[in-house]
Amino acid sequence: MNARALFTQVGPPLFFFTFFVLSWYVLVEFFDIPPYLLPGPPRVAEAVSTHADRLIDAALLTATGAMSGFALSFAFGFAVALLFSQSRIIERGLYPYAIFLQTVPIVAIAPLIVLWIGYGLQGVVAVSFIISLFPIIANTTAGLTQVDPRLLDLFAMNNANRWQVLFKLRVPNAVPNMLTGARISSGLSVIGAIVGEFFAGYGTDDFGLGYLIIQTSGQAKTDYLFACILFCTLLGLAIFSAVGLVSNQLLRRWGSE
Amino acid sequence: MTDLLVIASGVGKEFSGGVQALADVNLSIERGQFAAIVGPSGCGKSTFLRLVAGLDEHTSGALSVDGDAPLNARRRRGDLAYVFQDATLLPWRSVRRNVALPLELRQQNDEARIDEVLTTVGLSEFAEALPAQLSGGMRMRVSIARALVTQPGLLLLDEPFGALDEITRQNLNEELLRLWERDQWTGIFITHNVYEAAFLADRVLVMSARPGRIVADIDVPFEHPRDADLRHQPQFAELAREISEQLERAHA
Amino acid sequence: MKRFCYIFCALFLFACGQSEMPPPTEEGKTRVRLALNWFPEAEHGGFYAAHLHGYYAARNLEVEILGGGPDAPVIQRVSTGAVEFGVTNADDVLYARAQQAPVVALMAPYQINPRCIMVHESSGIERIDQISNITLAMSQRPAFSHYLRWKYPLEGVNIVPYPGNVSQFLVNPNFAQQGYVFSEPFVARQQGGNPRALLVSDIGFNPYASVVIATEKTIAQRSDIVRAVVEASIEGWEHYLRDGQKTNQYINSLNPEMGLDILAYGVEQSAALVLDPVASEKGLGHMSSARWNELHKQMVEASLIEAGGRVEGAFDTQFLR
Repeated sequence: MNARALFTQVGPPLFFFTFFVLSWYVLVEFFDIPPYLLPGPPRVAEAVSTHADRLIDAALLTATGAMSGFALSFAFGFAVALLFSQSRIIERGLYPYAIFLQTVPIVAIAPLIVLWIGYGLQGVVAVSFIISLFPIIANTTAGLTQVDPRLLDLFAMNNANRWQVLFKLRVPNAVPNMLTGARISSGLSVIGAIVGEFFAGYGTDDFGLGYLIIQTSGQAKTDYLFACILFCTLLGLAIFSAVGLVSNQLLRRWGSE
Repeated sequence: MTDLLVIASGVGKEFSGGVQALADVNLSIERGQFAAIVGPSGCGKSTFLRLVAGLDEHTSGALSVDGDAPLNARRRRGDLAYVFQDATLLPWRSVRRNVALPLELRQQNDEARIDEVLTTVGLSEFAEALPAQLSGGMRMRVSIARALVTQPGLLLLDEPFGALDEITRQNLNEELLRLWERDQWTGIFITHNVYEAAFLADRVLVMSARPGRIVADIDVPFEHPRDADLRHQPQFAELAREISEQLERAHA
Repeated sequence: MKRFCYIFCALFLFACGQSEMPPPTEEGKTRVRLALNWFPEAEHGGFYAAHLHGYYAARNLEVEILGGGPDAPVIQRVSTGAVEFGVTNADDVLYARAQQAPVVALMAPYQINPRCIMVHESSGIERIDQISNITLAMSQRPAFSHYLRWKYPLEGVNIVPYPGNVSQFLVNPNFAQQGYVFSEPFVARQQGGNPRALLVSDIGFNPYASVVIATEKTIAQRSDIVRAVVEASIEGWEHYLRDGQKTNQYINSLNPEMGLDILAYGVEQSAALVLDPVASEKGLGHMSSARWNELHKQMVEASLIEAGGRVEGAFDTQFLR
């Protein structure tokens, strides 16, 4: 990437970031907004530097929960989609329950998940898993079933068996859809981990970002709360970008430019 | 004694919606013959090809390929190949791996054969390219190479060059002809282009508008090997005119 | 995150200029709003009693009591003028003032904070300092949980988020959780549990609870209304403790989750917490600077607020009897 390309890539977001932070600063200063309502950027920056160690530890812990949840939903979602692609009856029978995963109010069932699975990392991973599962199932199923009928004819002409059609045609055909699902899921898995931490925590001395959010908002420490939210955003962005980068590389190799 | 590979007698096809695509198709195609079927668009000529391939089932009459029901023949012989209207390549596979697919599906591995067909269609240099990086004509060449890689006994071509520009189409016609002259497979070629049909085939079958029937069976007398110059011969123009007239009558 | 949305709403109101008091009612009564920090429960009984039995009306007030819930941003709403009065706990007042929120406590119904740690009787734990080797569910929001962690070693204790109900407690004999002394233990017992409630105030951490707050500005500009609200609320609480039946029926109609039995238990238990010996002598709602200073000191000790802040201004006793 040359300097110019780099600039067009990074320039606009950077411009808007600067604009946003400046407006925020001016808003807070001009209206003299008290910090318990909206802390200005300097206060948030100070909170970040004061609590940097704890924030980084918390972000790493939340990242562990999110990435485990994401990995699980990717593997499990793929398996479910494979099953769906093999039988219309199974798909029709089970798909409504998969949709349930998307519509379920996670806040309502998170306490139950904790009841069944227990407190700590496993509870966080479970919530993250449930929240991030549906996009993988939906997108992968679509990719596995929506195959160009002429390609199916081509395989039929070569007397391909069911497994050859599945692994040489359906699965590769589903890769772009799977990557789309993975991108959506990766962002959701972070939200899932944070919500999971609201309910499942990690135990006495370990804090994820979700736990810190509860604590700081309860104590009206809005500057620290904003620092937590900033870290949540950065974490989400990091995971999303990593998945995006991998999927762009793969898509290029997949010939779908 | 003539050796008939494809025999259709009174073949009809009615789709589940009640649309009668074919009615009473009668024809027979000899082993080693290159037959073209021309007809107005939507007349059911592609449908007929799919019946021969065993991709669809006819609803009336009798159709046999090599003395067997088409599906059975395809499964038993394993040497039927079909070239679609579009190149129908796997976009995630390189040219080489696309061509290798039919061998792969037969659990075979013959790199030398792949090299050979790639050379035949002039794509050796592009073996590692992805389909998205090729022009339409090059993609069609890949598609033909893929059909040829298993050395088919019966090659079914469904308007393979319909979407290409005229020059590319003529070039590919010449290449296809050269391949047939070398290997002499049995071929059924669907087209709505009378010049293409006259140039390539030994025999041109004219199909009527839907429901399709064979309304004319025209012998193409030109000797092989044919070359591009044939298109400028008066006999060629005469034959093309005859096919066109039959086609117009079929339209009516 | 809900709190966060509220903050933005509050911010919006702030940007639009502080809202004025709503217009008086048709009968000429002054309309004010009182925002609760939780769903309507026994711990708010006195305010509902004042409404129901006409103590507010007698002072020419029409008080609209707004129920809360988890994350109810009472202090933000009071600070921004979205409501005139709020009900919260003393530790939250100090948190908020540490962030420059101009809220002031006016009266304190609960002299003894109803907060407890509920353990299984079978655990053998009889005092909070004996808590060890169990799973303890406590919210990270209120100050007591941090104070507890700061003060005691809590050996082998796994602290997890507060689940909002008692189902974990009932299935796990090795589980303890926070609660209000007249609420969670009652529910647990009803459902076949055998809990023991350990009051947090017994370890010396005892923030006033269900405290009425208003802004410095409201107190300065509308002291007549503030006085009327405080006095009527005190009378309401006295009425509630004396005869809570009708009020409980009303609360039950607003919050059917709270059965009449648990509300009756709540009002019965509240009597000793509201009218402790000090309040019995000095009057219901009493607040002392010694208590506020003690709380402030404890919160600084546990690093919950920064040292050097002042307690003065956090509470105002001029409206009490």
